[in-house]
Amino acid sequence: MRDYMMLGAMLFLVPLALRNTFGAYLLWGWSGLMAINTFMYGMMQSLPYVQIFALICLTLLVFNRDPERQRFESDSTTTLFLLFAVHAVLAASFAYPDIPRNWELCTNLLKTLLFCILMPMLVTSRFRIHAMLLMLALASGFHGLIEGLKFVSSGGAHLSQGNIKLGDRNHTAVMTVMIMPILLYLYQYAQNRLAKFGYIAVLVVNILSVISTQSRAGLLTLIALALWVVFHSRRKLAGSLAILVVVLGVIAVAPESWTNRMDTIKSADEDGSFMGRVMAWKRGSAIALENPIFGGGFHSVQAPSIFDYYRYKQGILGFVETPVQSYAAAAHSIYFEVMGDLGFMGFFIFMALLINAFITLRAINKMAKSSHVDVRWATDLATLMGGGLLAYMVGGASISAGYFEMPYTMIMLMAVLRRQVDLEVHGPKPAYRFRAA
Amino acid sequence: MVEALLLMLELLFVCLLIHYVARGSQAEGRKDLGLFNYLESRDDAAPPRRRGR
Repeated sequence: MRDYMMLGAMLFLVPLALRNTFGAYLLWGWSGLMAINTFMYGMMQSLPYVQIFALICLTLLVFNRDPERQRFESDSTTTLFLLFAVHAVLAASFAYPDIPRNWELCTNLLKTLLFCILMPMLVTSRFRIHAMLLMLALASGFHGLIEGLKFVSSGGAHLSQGNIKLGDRNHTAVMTVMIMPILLYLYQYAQNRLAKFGYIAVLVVNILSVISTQSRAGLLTLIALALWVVFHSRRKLAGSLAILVVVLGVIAVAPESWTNRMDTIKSADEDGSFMGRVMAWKRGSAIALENPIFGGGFHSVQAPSIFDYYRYKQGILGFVETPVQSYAAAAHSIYFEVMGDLGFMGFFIFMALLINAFITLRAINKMAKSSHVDVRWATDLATLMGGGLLAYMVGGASISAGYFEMPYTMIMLMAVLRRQVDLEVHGPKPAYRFRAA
Repeated sequence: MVEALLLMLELLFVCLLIHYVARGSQAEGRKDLGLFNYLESRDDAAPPRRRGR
């Protein structure tokens, strides 16, 4: 039945995408983030949805079929994205031999970066920014909605295992928390009451889905996001009370196994799972120390072929005592993952991308403050997306999610938002004024 | 069954969104996302103030 539903949707969506470049762009992003193939079981499972919509979008772009398309203009964010893409290709080229997923991961990252680099050309108005946010919420919020409803229907007994595309339950938890600020923004700015109710309901169910993963990283990410939202809220008391209600609600519905699991955060140094992560971090940093410019290649840290060589290396974490790891585990940290895969050079570009997003956030707030034009919607959105990125930086410290689409999309969306605020505050650039005249 | 139903809703909302986007992009000045429409400002959501006597 699902396959027939999908077939029907595709028969409607493909002609729409063929007529509208931005629609095709949204569908490209949606099919990637949603991992739609993982919800199919029959004839529609093997259809390359992302490639279909990407190809339609790129073809329409080449033929210049979008009247609202802007020309490509470089800024700090696009420059960093291009640098990161070039560095990723070089890192994959100079990688250790026999790394099973080296080029596969590099290609996936390049596709993500391409999607993001095109964003300033296509997301050119508030209307389009809002449509983009809706696409992100529909794609990423769906995973949390499914898992959260299973948790509710099982009376709190459901243990979410994550999604094949997103990764294990820790990855799913962090990615679910990242979409929450966007759902909150959509709730705040929804015109339709039914839609408003829908956004807040999905947000609450998404919080429950994070509980259903029993992920400690998920809980820490949730706390970081809550603190960010309260700290930046104009009504701090109301915000704190709302958070308190959520915390009490979580304690009321969470099963005992969840509380026991979260208790182990206090004794992380005695926890085998956590110490396993530290061992992987040691190997990741050791690979970077031996290959400081290009690293060892994508997911070299978990390649059995080079595991024996780095097994006893301490990297930059020699001061932490750990037992010797017996198998080639994943990096378990976005920082050590990028460090080991792309070297210190790649790590610095990756960090620059993240820091640059917060610099852009500050610039948006500064522009808004110095202007009489009401761009509060943009400062609200930028602040909430900052919370999403903070969630990624906190939760990402213990998961291998360095190349996930969502953070890169948020970073570029922040840059797009800055351009939009600049346009609303200062008006079109002189070249356009001249052309209009 | 519930998952299939939710998937159906998801596909329906995506079709609606792309339909609104295509319509909004084609018709100049008709920037309407229908069910997904947004407030220009959060102040628009507040009820109108009573005028002074």
